[in-house]
Amino acid sequence: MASIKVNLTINSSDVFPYVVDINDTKTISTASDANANSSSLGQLTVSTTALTINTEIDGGIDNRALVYIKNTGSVATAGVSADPNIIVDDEGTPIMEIAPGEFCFLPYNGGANSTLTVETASGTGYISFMVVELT
Amino acid sequence: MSKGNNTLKCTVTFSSTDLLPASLAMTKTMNLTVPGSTAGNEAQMQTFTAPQAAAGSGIMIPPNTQAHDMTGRVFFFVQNTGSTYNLLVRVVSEHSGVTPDQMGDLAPGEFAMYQFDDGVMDSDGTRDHLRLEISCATAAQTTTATVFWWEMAA
Repeated sequence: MASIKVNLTINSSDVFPYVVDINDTKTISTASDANANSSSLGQLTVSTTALTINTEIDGGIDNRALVYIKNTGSVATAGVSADPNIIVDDEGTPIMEIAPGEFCFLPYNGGANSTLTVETASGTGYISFMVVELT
Repeated sequence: MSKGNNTLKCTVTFSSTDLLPASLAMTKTMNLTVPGSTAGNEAQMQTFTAPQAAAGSGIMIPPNTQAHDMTGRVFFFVQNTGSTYNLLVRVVSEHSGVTPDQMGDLAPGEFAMYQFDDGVMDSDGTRDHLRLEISCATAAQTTTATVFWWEMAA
């Protein structure tokens, strides 16, 4: 069994009529069994062909996993277009779209032996990712 | 929401000494601009009690009865604020006729942040009725949840 500590802060002074100041921390432990026997951390170049990000997770994410994905592509600057958004699919169904510079994280569970894939609508995109099987 | 562009700053930190062969210490920050247009004109923070429900019968956010829809890209922050049961999170792109797809499973105290898009996630060619759904998995289970969402650019 291993553990990972996650902290998320969200701050804004103008999205709501009052200041938003969220600061949450959670330490998550992995189970001591075959459903939680893999973790991976890496980066990928993404195209319009769906690419599995949990290839090394023994055939699929067994049940529940902590997933972090960041679109590390370039944001738009004067005269230069942004790299494409990254589309995240659960078993082929789009569940998220991440713009350059943005990230997401979630305790993911698409069912037994789920496959998470990433793709772009057009062009080449870039991500860094972490997948940690939990239970 | 105030007039003009607004901003949100999000930072996530992961740390572990025993998950990987080397210690993990990673912090990432993103600064988001919420446009002062119709694509970014809505944000809500709510708390719920989530009952057991099959896909399509849980609590829809925003409610199916709500006249207006999320437009373009939307960020969601979800936290299971209960102490006993897990919170299932599903997403659906249509008001009816499409079964929501399960994507998240939050143990008590856990939280998540997602970004949806009513374009790439649409299933009938009409960009409408993007919804997040929460529920518990098993009969007699309930938990509480906090949901915070805000529209981004189209």
